[in-house]
Amino acid sequence: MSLKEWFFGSEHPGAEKSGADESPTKPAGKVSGGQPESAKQPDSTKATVTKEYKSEKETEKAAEKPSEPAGEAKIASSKEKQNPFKSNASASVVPGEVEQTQILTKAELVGLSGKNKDGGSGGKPIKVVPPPKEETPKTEPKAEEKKESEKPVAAPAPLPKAATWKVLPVNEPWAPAEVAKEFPHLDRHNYFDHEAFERIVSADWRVIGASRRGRKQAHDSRFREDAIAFGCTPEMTVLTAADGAGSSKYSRIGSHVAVHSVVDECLKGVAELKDEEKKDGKKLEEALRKLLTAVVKQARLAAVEVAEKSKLSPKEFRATLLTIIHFHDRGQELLLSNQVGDGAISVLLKDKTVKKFGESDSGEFSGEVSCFLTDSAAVEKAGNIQVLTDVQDVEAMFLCSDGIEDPFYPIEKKSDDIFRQWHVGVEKPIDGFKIQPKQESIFAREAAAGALAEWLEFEKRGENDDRTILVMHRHPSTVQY
Amino acid sequence: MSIRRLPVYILADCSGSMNGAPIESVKSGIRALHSELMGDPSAVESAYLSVITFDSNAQQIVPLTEITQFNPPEIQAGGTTAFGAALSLLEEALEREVCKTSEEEKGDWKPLVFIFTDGAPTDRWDEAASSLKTNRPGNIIAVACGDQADPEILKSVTETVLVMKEMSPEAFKQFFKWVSASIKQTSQKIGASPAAPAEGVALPPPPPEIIIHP
Repeated sequence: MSLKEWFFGSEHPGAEKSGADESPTKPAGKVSGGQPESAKQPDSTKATVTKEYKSEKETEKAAEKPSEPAGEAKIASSKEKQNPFKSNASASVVPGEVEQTQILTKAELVGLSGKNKDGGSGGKPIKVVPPPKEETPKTEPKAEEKKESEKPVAAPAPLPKAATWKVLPVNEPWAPAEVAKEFPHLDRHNYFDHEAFERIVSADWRVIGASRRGRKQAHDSRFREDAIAFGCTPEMTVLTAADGAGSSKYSRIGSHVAVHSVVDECLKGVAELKDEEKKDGKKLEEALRKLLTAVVKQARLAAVEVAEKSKLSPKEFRATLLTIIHFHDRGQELLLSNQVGDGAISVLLKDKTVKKFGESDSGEFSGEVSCFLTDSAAVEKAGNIQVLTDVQDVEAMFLCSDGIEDPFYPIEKKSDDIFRQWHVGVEKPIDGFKIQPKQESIFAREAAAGALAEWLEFEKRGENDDRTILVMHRHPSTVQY
Repeated sequence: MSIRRLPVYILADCSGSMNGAPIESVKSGIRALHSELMGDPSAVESAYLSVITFDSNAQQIVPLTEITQFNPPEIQAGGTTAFGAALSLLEEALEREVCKTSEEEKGDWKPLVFIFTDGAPTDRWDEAASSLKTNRPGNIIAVACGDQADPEILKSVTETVLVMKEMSPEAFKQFFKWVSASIKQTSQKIGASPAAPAEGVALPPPPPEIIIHP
């Protein structure tokens, strides 16, 4: 299997790999499984592997882009510039090193998956055992030793090797005994590390969702804390995602309970809308605003109830919550959104402009959120509803957790790149990203969920949180890039 | 496009009273901390270390440096305890080196600062201390080592004050182990509102050698 095949899949992946075939966990498993890898590669090995990778890349793109290999160097060097504290020459190995390790991992993975076709990438993480690399270190330290012997400074102990990511199972039940006892339905044995789904929800619209466990969570033997859900009736679609706070012990339960409460309550609420409300645009908007506010409040109560009945602190169940409702019936069409905490909601209009459709709450430092769903101040946030009435101008929208928002910060500007990639595919990584798997258009695919899950496999330094995204787009697309 | 860093500052007392075993313990502690962090891929990607020492003067002997580039510094003990100068230098370094969230850029994680001292300050420290306590430019953890250090002085810098009675090599070892555990669990989503800023840090319980000063 060539690198190209590995990235792109077969020629018509949609036709061959149905949703069931291409199980959501599979693509993610490929990458996460490949992480164990020694970061300390001797320079010579690194160079060859990178070269191989590049040369494949080059053949793939033919000679039309001769400057391509320089592209990577450019990214690396611009990174170096950004680090004002980078010390002198001898240190220059490291930032690139992580990057090259990733490339090596991919390259080795290609080799591996080529050998055992489909077998290797299933449930088991692939252990990539680094080949013993003792030759180069021998020569390099020698040079350093010489220098050092000339200096009066005491020779420092050799620097320890930088660790690489592991993918570990969680060794505790998803719901602790306190919760499982009070809420047997939350004693979930069907938890997924990664999930992806899609559905054609109406003649014009398709929903695609994907959520994957972050590398940090996988390394620390923790569950995915993001949750994702959607529901639809002939007249309404609801999309919702929640992100459990890493500092809260049972935030996975808070986020899970919240999103499912949102879907249930929306379905109930829409069924109860009166005919007179549905006919009149103004009344409808008012009714839906009230509905969404009530739904978010109820989600809060649901999460708090689980905490309190289990005799645990609601603080241990902290999560953010993002919701979009799309209502369409009798010529009325409306979009409403609500957001508690960080993450982002973005809308693509048919003229290819991008609009922010929610209010992210984050502090002056990374990771700070002033109000979570379980906090009492969330009741106020529930009343903060945004409405879009010109839905005929809308082409697509997404809501995402901060696992996507942060690497693409500021998302108001980067949403443009995101929508473009989904429409035309990924040719090369966006600036600042180590890796983005090559892809063809996600929106053009017949089965798109696996592709969206694969899109979540981008790699960017320091961005290893859970990633969750829920997209609704016109199907087939009506904009051209 | 820059990466989000977790800045970690270590303020080490290197006054004359630290001479001998204590300063050696600090040195090996920093080495151990570094190799411990090298063992955590998340720290390798995000954590940046800086070391500020103070004796008769304060100096930032290692500017904020990524873990993979960090070289444990050579430090010596001697002189008096310029604690106030160290605090001023810390605040200045935080201001200069740490990025906050802006329209264009996601900020760094909130810095973690570990201060340890074994004696009373020999310079003016109160203004620098209250400035840090008011501005809260980072999550500061201060440790009073041995009998001579006054935890109450540290209390005027931060709410989080620990006491390490015995200045044994083992106690220092445990302390640095705890520092690395704290760093590893810091880069995650937390509640932080103007109403409850102190809520910012959730640290693992300290080892038995170190007790929390109420």
